Amino acid sequence: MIISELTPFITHDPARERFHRPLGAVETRAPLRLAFSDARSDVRSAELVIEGDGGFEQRWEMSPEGGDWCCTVTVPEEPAALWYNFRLTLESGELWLSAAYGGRFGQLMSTKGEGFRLTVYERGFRTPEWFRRSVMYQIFPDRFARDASGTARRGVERHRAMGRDVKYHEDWSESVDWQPNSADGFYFPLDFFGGTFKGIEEKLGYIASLGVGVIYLNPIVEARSNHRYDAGDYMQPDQILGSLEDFERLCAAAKERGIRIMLDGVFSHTGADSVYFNRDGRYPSQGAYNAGPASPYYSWYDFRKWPDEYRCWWNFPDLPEVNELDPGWEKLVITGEDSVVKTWLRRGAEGWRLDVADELPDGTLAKIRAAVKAEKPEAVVLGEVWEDAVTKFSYGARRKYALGGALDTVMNYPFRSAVLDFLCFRTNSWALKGFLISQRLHYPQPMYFALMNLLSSHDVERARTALATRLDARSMTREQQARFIVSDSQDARGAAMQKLAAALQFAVPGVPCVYYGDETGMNGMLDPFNRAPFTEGARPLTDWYRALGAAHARYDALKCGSAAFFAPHPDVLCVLRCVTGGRDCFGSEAGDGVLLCAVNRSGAEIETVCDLWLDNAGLTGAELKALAELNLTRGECVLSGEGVEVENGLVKLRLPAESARLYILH
Amino acid sequence: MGKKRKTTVYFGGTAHELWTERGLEVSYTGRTAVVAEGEGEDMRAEAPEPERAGDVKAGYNELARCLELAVRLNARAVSPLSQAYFAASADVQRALEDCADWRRLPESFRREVYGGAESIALAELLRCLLDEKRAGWDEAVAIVSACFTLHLPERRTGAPVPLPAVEALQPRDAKLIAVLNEKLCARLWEAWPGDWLRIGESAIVRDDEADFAMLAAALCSRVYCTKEELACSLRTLYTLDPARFVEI
Repeated sequence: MIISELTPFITHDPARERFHRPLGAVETRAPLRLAFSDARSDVRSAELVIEGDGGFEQRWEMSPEGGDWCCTVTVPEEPAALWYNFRLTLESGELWLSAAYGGRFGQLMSTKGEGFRLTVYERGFRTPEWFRRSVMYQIFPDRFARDASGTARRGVERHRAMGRDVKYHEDWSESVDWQPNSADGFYFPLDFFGGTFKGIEEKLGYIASLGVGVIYLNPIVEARSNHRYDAGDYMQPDQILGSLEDFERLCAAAKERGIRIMLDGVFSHTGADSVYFNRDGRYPSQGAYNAGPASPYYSWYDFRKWPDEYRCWWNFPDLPEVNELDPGWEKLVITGEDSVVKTWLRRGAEGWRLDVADELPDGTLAKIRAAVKAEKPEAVVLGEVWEDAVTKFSYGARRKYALGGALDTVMNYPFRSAVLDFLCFRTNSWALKGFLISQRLHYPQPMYFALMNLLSSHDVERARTALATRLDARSMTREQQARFIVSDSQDARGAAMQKLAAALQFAVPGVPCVYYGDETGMNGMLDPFNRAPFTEGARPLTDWYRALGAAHARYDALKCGSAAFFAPHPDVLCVLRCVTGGRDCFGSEAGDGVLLCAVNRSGAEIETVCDLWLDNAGLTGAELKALAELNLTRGECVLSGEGVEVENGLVKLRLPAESARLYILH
Repeated sequence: MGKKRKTTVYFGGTAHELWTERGLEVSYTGRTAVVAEGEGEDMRAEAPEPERAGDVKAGYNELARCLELAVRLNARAVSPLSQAYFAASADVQRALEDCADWRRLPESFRREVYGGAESIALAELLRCLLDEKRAGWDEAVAIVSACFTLHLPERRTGAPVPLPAVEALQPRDAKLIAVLNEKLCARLWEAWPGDWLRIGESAIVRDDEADFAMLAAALCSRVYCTKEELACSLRTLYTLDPARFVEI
């Protein structure tokens, strides 16, 4: 039961330092001061109750102090996702102050309600600084760029020589295949367009012009399918993409331009058509399928009844799952001197994106991290996670991969959903602001500033299409998606909204990731339509992305500055980024600067005021004080040149319809 | 010399609200009537003519109360709030009488308020429109908003007024101020759901006291104020609806 009449007087807001110091997630063994207000002195005694998984519970007595009740606790030694409530004794009896309204503000209850979140992460957890400061570009290798040397054709012939029925699209502008092409009526992606390492290398100048610092390549190892998530041989690049030398040359050429290459590690399963399983006998190896217990790989797999009944990923027989605890697998993939993970780093890669990280045990993830960091301390480990990575629960356990010791960062799909929901008018800016503040408060800071903020990927419909059609592509059959035509007027709307989405993507903390072709206005529903060959759509936004990339490169505040979020109007969202005192949030040197990104999604001009001095928008008290001392009076948009007035922390905005502005404030 | 204009202003009593097929009917018992005579600074209070001539004792007692109040009003021996209510009530009643179509009242009736006791005129006009002209809520609020501008002096003088003090003058005015507060808080809640600290800072009614400056700032179509007011006490309202605010 909710007790409402006292609620306005007994409050707690974890976004205010008065109630939660320090703000946000805390390191293990750190002191933490928690408080709640008691404006009418109704409370007789109070207790802080912190709880976690496995029956973890700590109780701390609170004491009154200046109208608040507070206590300073030492957070646990083990990283954990925790929750806390306040147990209050009033004259009328016992009440609980629990979380409400997006987990932010307190709500008095007669019984304990949902707790406020508290993230405790490993002391000393750090993520690569270069990564936190980068713009990412994701490439689906078969579909980005061909080269003229015939590499792909030779590779296709090699696949055919192995007995694979692959198709080569002669014409780059052909549509992707999607029709069922197997005996059991399923679609299997065996059509290749022939993108290559050399093709990417030849386009490095273009990629660099977008301000990109890291390229994330979908899988490149030898495999049967065009997406290569069915690894055939972890150690060899797919010959359609090119040779090992081609890959190494790509890495070197990219490095010369200040661009790093990150690879996609698919370690929860292999292809059935692989060196290790060898179901189709296309490899000379003794695979688990064709050789049974005699195979060195037999123990990798879980055969209920050899050879045809085995555990496979999401019941796809082409993707047999591996046992990550098998010592042989572990040695070959992670821990061995020449393991997969280490070898590719030696070959020039600077990090790994781990496919379906949820499905790799925490211990395995920790070992991958250790191997990666041992080989290349500044390499990055990024996990595919679709939900909040801090509270993710999978396979019967709370995952700890976001708390240090495993992943540096994750794919931020919740960011994508929140931004698209806002720009498709499914929510308003207040909801988006709440989401952004929630991520600020709940992710460990080293991960928060490294989050891969994406709008599109190879697994979701392109942002342009989502914004243009406002449809849920998952509700459509593959055939419906293939036949869907985005109309010109829809595309125009999609383009207008994509500009706003991209501005937000480059403004929030984390690593903005541009999926190849988003910048050129490509449309595409779900897989395989989101993986079409790189081309230019009707309304390219390349200049817009270049401008955002240039701003990101120029202003340290956008890369590593503190952040605050504002919703001065239901249709307007503002993101503030600032560096003061020559240091970023991690104490690293950074150029001072204050930038304000303002986005108006509505079809009308909006005049509004953004209050930069709000004390619960994301900045700490010290950051707010430093901001106030700057005595900001004006700003200019680095994208449009328009000016803006600032007085006493109030920014007077006049935002044209469907516009995004990025003001540098002085 | 022309006959001076007379308008009856009622003080206190109990309001009885009854929802009927025609909407809300408000009747009163126990009110004290005073007649406002004259205009502006020259306005004086008089006791009304006794209505119940047959009941000498009751009429005498009522009349005595009215007369006593009139004398105190003329001698300025009542609270500034009572004085302000007397002037404001007479003023808005006359404005409505003079206006053939109350929907067009803002064309002929414009007043400035300063965030002090005189701002009770906003609640009083709202009451007249709702209870007597049977205007709808949004329509009445729009008319009140258009009729008044707020000019906040550099140094504010009006302290918050206990809501029971307003209730003692005109119970419906107090009720309407409470409703305006609820609606403002609801708007603030939309922008800052759950953030009671911020909502409380900008509320019209806090701890059962009404802040007339905040009432006027929330309701007036134009708010003239200093940069300091914008940056401090009106900061939240300003960010909520900046177009109404003019810096002086």
